[in-house]
Amino acid sequence: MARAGGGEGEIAQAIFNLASVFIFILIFLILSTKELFQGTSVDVELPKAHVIEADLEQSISISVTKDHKYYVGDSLVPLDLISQLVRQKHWEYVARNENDSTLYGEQLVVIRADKGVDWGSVLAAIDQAKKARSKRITLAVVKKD
Amino acid sequence: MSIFFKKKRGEGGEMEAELPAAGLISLTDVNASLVKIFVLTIPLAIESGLFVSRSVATRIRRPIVQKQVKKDVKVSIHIRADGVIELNKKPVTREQLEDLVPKLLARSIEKNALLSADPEVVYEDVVAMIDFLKQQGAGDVLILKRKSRTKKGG
Repeated sequence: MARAGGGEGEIAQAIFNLASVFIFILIFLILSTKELFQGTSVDVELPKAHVIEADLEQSISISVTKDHKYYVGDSLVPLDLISQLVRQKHWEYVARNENDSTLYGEQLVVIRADKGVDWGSVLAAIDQAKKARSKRITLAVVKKD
Repeated sequence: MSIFFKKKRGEGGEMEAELPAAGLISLTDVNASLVKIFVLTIPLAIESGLFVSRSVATRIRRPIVQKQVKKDVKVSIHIRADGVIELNKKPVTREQLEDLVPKLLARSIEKNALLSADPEVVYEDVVAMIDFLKQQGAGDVLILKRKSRTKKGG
């Protein structure tokens, strides 16, 4: 009887542990979703589109917030320094790929602009990416239902 | 521990075993459901992209000569700050646009479209236009930078 009781106690303990693990998984997923899928944690409300062309792979993200602030990844940067930072990231990409310089500019640049900002601000970010000789630029959107 | 486990009293009155409280089991179920819902809704929250510039490597399947592109472009759209949409330099309504764009694209080989907008135009409207052009079958939407043509002060 004592043996059976110990077994049930172990099951109860296991269930308790399982519940704790689920909670940790959930918290981890919630906290890391933005980092995992967007490469940045800058929060912007993206416009929606029916047509989807690019799945955002490992990319350089330039975010334009509602208050016209520019971020490269998570770093707040002035507009005229964006190209410098993007250039640096392109070279890092080249270094990661056995220093194959033909890959310079091939890493996808994603412009994540808030849907309410003016087009001029977005165009300025695209200009900066072009200035860094980025070859692949995409506008981030969320798929329309 | 008493919050999570309930001791069961045996027939002889002695404490027999610790069983998980009903609350704990439902907590496990709720957690499992939350994880499942979260995992299933991730694809809905994932961001995607609309290309405004592609590398040569992605265009290599259909090489294009610059002069041909200029001649071949049949759709050139400009969105003015006052909301007016110009198709090939002529103001058009949304209905006319929906009617004309597919016809013009059908006459084009590369099916490229040019798009420009005044800097004051809301970004969402520009994305909506790119989306519209892609839906109508445009291959590449080429973004042009133009100076604002709206007159200041009325």
